[in-house]
Amino acid sequence: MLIVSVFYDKTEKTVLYSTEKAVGLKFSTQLPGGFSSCSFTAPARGWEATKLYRLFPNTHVVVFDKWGRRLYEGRVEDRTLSNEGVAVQAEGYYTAANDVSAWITFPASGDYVVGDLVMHAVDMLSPTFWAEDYSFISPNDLPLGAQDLEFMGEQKIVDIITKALSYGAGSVEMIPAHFALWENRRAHYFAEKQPSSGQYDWAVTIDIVNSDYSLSSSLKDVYNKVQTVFDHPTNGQTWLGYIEDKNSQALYGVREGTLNAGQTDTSIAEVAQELALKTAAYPEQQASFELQGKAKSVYGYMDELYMLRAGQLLRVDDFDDAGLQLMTGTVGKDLAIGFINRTDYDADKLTLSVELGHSSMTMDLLVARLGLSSGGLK
Amino acid sequence: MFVLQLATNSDEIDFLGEAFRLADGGFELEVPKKEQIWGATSRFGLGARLLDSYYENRKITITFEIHGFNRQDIVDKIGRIEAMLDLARRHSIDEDPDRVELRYRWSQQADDKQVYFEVVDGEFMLPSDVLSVGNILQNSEFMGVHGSVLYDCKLELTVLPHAFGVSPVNGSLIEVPLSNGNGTRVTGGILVYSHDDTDAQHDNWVSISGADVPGDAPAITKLQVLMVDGGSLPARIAVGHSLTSTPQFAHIIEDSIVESSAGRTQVSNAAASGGTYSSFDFTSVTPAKFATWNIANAHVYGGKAYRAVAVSFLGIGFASSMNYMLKLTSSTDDVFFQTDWVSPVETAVNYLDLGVVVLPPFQGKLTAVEDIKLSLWGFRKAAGTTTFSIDYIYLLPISEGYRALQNKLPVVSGAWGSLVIDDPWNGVVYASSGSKNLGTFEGMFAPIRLIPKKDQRLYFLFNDLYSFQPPTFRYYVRAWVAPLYKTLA
Repeated sequence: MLIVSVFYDKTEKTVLYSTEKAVGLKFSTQLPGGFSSCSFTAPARGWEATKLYRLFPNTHVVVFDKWGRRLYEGRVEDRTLSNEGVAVQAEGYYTAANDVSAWITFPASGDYVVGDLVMHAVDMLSPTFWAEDYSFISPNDLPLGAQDLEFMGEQKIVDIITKALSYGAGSVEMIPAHFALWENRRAHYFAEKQPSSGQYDWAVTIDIVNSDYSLSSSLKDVYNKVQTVFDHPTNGQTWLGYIEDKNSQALYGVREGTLNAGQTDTSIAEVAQELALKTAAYPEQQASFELQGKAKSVYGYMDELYMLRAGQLLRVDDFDDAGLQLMTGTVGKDLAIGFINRTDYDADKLTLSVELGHSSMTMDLLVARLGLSSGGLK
Repeated sequence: MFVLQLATNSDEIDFLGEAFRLADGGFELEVPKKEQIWGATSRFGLGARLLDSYYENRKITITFEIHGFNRQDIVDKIGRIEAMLDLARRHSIDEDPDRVELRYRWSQQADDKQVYFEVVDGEFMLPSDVLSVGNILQNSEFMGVHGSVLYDCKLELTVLPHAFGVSPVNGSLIEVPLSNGNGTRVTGGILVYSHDDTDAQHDNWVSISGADVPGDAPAITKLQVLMVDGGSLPARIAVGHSLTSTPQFAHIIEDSIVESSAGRTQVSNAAASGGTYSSFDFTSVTPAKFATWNIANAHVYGGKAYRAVAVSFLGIGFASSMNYMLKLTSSTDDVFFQTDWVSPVETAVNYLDLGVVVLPPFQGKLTAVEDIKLSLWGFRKAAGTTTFSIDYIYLLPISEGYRALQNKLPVVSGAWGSLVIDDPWNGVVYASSGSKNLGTFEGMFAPIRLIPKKDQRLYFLFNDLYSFQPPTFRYYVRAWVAPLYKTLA
C-alpha cells in the first residue's frame, strides 16, 4: 500500500490531502532528472472532486510507502476532473531546468571546469525549485575546452547540465556522469557506477523477471579496426595506421572504420584513436524488462521493487544462458549486473519496469573533451 | 436468538418479523473471495511468489415476502428498502457519514455474537410478474387483520468482506485496556511520556494483550491522545506498531551509553531523558563518524523495520548546515546497513528523521548474533562548525504499522484544543478542546490495526519539529477497536 500526500509547498509543513486510495498510481525515475513523472487519480465526486481540482495546481506531491519512505516527489503539472475523480499528472523538479535560463560567461583564460557548470545550474534554481545544497555534487575539475567558448550567453539550465554531462567524469577513464534530483530536491551529480566493479545495489532472482522482456543491440556502430585522419598544424592531413581489437573481430568479424579527428596534433589524435576503438569495438545493448516480486538489498534484506531507482546497479542472480542475455554490463559484454537508466513502477500491478544499459555517451565524451572539430567515426 | 435486520440510523427492516418474512432457505451468505497478486511466473522460476492478498466484497442474497395492510402499504415498504440502498451508495461513493448495516445472528446459543455487515451497495428485485394484480393483492393475515402480500422479493446486498463486531450505524467501539509502567490494563487513559528512560513510569509506549483484541482479523483502531501538561499540540504525532518481542526491544538508545564519540560534551540535566544529553561540535567536510553505540541481542530484532530518529534537547536542534547518516556495522566495521544522507530542508529541526532502518540478521532465523554497532556520521556542507545536541536515539518500531497525524496548519495554537483523535471508524482525524472539534489534523499512512491474539505495543513520538517540547511532557492515551470477523459465529 502506497500513500500519496499533497503538500501546500515544498517545505511540507502543511499537508492538504493524503490518501492510500489513489487509483492507477504510477511513478518513474530516470536519468538525467531523478524523480520523473507520476500519475494517479484521487477518487472523489461532486463538490469534493471540485475542491481537490482547485486545490491541486502547482502543489507538492510525495509518494510514501507504508513505512514513510519517500518514493517520489514532484509538483502537480496537469489535472483533469472527471466522474471518477481528479486525475493528476506530476513531474519531478528537474523540469524546472527547462523553464529557467541563465547567463553563462567563460573567461578567455578558459580556466572553468566542468563542475562549475553544474554548480552554476544548481545556483540558478535554488532555493526556488531545487534545494540550495551542493553536498552531492561530485567535484569535476576537467577543464572546459576552447571549443566551449562559444557556449556562452543566455542558456537554459537544462542545456548547461547537458553540456556538463557531455564531458562525463573521470580524467582517465571515460565514465558517464549523471545528474538527478532525489529526496528533498537535492541535486546529485555523480559518475556512473561501473558494473564491472562487481558492486551492486539490488539483486533479484531470475524467477521474478516477467517473461516479457527485450534485449537489443546493433552492430551498426561497431568498429574493431580503426584508422585515424587528422589535420596536423604543420604537416597538414595526416593518417595514423590501423589499430585492432581481435576479440571483437572474433565475435563480430572485421569492421573497419575511420576516425576523423579534425584539427589537432599527433599525440591527441593517437589518444582519440585508442578511445574510439575502445568505445566502438562492442555493440551497445539496451535491455528492458518487467519485475514482479521482491528485491534483495546489497545488505541482504528483502525489500519492495519500488525502492529501485535510476542510477543504481541491479544484479540478476540464478540466471541461465537465457537470463544472462537480459543484462547488459560493460560495453558489449554480458554481465549479470546492469546500470539502471529508468524505472517505472505500477502500484496496481506491483510491477517495476526496468531499463538497463549505458547511455551510449562515450563517443560524445570523446568529442566534447577533445573538441574534435569534425569528429566522428565512420 | 436469530437476527436478520437491515438498518440505518432512522429505519430498521426485520426479515424475521411480520411485515418482511424470510422465505424458506431464503438467506444466502457468500464466503468472501480471496484476491491474490502473484509475482512473475517465468520459465526460469520454481513458481510464483505471493505478493499481496485481500478479500473481495461479499454478496448476500435475501429472498422474502412483504406483507402489509394493503397495496399502498407494500409499496411504502418497498420504498423504505430502496431508500436504505440509496443511503448505502451515498456512503460508498460520496462518503456520506450515514451508514447501512445488515445485522446477523443465526444461533440460539446464548454466547454467540451478533455481527454487522456494512452494506456498500445493493439491488432490490421484484418478482417478474409483479404487475399482475393478483400477485400483489393476494390474501394475507397481517397484524391480525386481512391484508396483502408480495411474494418472491429478492434483495442482493454487496457488503464489506469482514463482518464487524460493533454496529457501523450506531455502535460504540470497544475500548482496549492498555498497560505500561503507569498501570496495568488501564481504560479511560493511560499516562504516556514523551521519552522513555530507566524511570519505571517514563514510558513512551503502551502494551496490548492479544486476548484483549477481539475478532479474527486486524481490527479497525481508534486512538486518542490528550495533552496533560498544556502548551501547543504537537505538530506531528507518530505511532509505531510492533509485536512484543522477548526480551523486549530496547527502542531508546541514551546518549550517555555511547561507546565512542568525537566532539561530544555530555551535559547533566534532570529534564533530559536519562538525566543527560550530549552536545556536539562538528567540523568535518568529509564523512566522519561522531558517535557509536552498541546493540546487544540483535537477533531479537532482526529483519524488523524501525524509523530511526535522533532527538535533540533544549532546542539545540540539527542544523541544515550538515548531512547526517546512520550506519550499522559489526565490531570490525563490516557494514550491515546504512541510511541515505539526510539533512533538514531549510531550518534546524529538533527531531532528525534518519529514515527506515532494518536490523540484521535480515532473513531466516538466526540466534546468538554478534552485537551490532550503531554509529552516526556527518559531513558539513561547507567549512565551519555545526553545534547540535542528542538526548537519545529513538528506534521507533514500525514492523506492523506506522501512522502519522500531522497538523495541516503551519502554526499550532494551544487554543485549538489539547486532544487529538484518529478515528478511522468514522473516517476523521481531528483536534478537540473537549467541547469543540476542529479538523486541523491529517492522517498520513495507514491507520493502526491492532491484531487479535497477538501481544503487541504501540510506540509514540510526539514531534514538535520547530519548537522544543521537553521530554517530560505527558499525554493520556486511549485506544478502541471495531473487531472484524471473517468466520462468523
